[in-house]
Amino acid sequence: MSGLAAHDGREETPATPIRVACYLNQFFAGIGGEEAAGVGPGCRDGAAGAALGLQRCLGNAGQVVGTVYCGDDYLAAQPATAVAAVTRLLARYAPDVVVAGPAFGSGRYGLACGQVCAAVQEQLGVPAVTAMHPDNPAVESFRGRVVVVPTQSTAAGMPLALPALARLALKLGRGEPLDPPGAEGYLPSGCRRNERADAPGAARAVDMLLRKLRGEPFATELPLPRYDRVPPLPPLSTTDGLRVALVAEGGVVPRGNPDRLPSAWATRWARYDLAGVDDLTADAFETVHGGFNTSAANRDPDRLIPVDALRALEAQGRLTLHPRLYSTVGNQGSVAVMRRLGAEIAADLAAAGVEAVVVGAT
Amino acid sequence: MSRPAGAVRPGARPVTLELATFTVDEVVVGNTDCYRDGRLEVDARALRALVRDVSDAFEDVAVNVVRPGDDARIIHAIDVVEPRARLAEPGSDFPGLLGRQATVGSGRTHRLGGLVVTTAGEPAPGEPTYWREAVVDASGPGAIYSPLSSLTHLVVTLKPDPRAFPDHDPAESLDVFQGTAAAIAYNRAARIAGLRVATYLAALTRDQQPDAVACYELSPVASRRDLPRVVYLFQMTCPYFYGQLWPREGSVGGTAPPPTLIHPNEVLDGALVNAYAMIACIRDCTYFLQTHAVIEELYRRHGTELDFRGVVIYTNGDSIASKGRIVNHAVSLAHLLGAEGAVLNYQGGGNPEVDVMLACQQLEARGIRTALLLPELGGGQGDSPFIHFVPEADAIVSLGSYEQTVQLGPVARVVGGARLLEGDEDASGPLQLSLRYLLGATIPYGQHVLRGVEY
Repeated sequence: MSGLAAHDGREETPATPIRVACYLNQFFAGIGGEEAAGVGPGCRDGAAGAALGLQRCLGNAGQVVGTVYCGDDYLAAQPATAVAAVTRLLARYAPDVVVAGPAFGSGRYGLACGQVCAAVQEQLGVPAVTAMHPDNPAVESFRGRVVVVPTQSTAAGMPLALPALARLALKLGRGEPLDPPGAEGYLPSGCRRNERADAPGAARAVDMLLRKLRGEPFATELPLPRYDRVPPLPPLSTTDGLRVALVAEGGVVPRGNPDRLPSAWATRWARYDLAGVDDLTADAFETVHGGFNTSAANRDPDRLIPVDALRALEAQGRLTLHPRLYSTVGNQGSVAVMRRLGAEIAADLAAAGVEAVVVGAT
Repeated sequence: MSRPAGAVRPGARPVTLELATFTVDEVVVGNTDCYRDGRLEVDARALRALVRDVSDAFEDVAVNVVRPGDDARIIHAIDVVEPRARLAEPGSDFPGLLGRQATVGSGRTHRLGGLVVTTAGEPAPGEPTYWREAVVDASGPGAIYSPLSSLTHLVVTLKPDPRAFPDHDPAESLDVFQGTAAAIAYNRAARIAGLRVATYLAALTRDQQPDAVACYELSPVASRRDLPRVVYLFQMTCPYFYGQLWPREGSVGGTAPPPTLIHPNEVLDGALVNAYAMIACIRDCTYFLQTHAVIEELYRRHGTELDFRGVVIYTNGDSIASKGRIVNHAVSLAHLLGAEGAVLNYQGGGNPEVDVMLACQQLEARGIRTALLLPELGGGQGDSPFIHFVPEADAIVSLGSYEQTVQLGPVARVVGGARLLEGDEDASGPLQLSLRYLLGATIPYGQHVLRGVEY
């Protein structure tokens, strides 16, 4: 609605209310507490439970046409079938937008909301929005796929969460594009795109520095990310009898690079047979890594990934060397791609019964 | 020791650089060399002879003009140079590469405005190619991504003579970024060829009146102004510094020298020259060094909004020890200059970001506020734009993500080559390319208006 239209003296035709369908767990739908967590998918026409509060925030602009619920335990135990059933129930209400939650700090409920929103978007082609605490694990699981409004960690945050949810639901229901996360009040998707700024980078940097020096507010253009913290497993007391594999990030390949592993921006990994190989010799192996001076590594590729040392330990009966060398190039690699490569290699190692891994990094 | 009241202390003369602009409105390839009233005529045969004279390794040289708006694309770009000539005695152009050793940054330098000399051509045998491709589109959707698209390019396409490149001896240590010794020599000659053409053209303005003169002098700011003292920590890729390669640690060319101070005028006046073909979108083309945007911006506000105290140049380390040695010293120099604030750039790649973040952390710990210029890595969903970061890095300007894919339209004319180095695609397009191949798209010195935003 534009400000000009309100002053030109004409009556505005009230728009048809946006059709909103809600997804809630058993508790917020008013079915019952933890004892009712096993209840299967069901629905109530109109607004029920927490959806009544949402309806008040929507006013005349939107109408909660149906409330679909499912017990947290039920959904967690059979997510695929339960989410499919919930999605079918939501589809019955022919919604313009689906609102799931708020889930606050609840991990199970948060994941349920994320799964329902993703399914609604992907299968029904209907926009969806949910709300939860930024530390809810579902935020990371669905980042970039589902719009999430931040809330407090407990239901005490309901009065703050609902107006924001209602505003975004109406915008999504009308098919309007969302403004950036900061302006619109949802969590950043983690996706970035390029655009033209109104001034060159150097001018923006000096401006930002001067504001910082004067104690004036400034906004970074690149907020710092939050990385996963992976707690290392406790150290092995011995490798006796263990099957140990070698994984190289340094681009070690058989000479000639038969799989054409790239020197940078790798999106693949390769696996090479070590049967009968006691030593990575310069005539049989090389590195294709393009991010460091490879002269020394090419003289003795064992220094990138120590096949010779593990064979020596194997000869002493200290371990068994898994007969495959895993190799990729980390140079310029994207975190998302590397995370996928790591998971793929780990799955392959686990399937082969490998119990310990030496990772050579450059 | 006392001195009589009113006596003038014999001080050093100020360093003043006058950049005299001669705008080029029209370029014509003809039979004579002449600049007059905005019209530049060049004799392609004379230019080719000038280039062939630099090295026997050039088998062939071609000269083409690409104007903004042309239905044209430059590929295999090597370096881009703004034509400059230091005509006043004792002038020396690009000392160490063209002219004899002399300090640049003072006196009058002639520049051609709106025109650049762009060297291009296929890589030399023995030169690594995966970082080498560099594209400039003169029109179409690709043109918005490069600050170079709005310039007229005099493209000098060089063809290496295969006979100048003996087979690589496997026993010889291979520089992973620059390749064999013969390839390194060829690429140095390619830079000199571009500089020679650029200097030759700018010298055609001798004895003529410029359209404008910009004056650069780091005059002392009166203490009563109480302006914040700002320095620039200039992380370099590995340029020629007065003709000598300034290496990065471990990778290109050996040991990184300790950081040092440089007068900003020297940067603007040819002390630094591009040395190798880094990723195109972040490549430190000589043009970007000659028109360094952070230095220009700090000068623009010197004496009114801030007190520009100087430039610290450094490259990156490749180990905790070498990073410490380099970063600690760069921060000490900033502190010694009395800095209260510092602008830092990150030149792209993996290792260099760690150094910039360490410098940011140490500066902030010493009470020196920082703002960072960062090209973004990562392009995928949920992909972090950082290699490394510190919590102190709370004021960052994004120069855009260089992993994003852009669509380039078809063009009628391709200059510099015919097929892209990677993928061997027909360069006339249409092309789907990573932004990293577009020359200058995320130039770390902030010349361009691109930025990344989260959505």
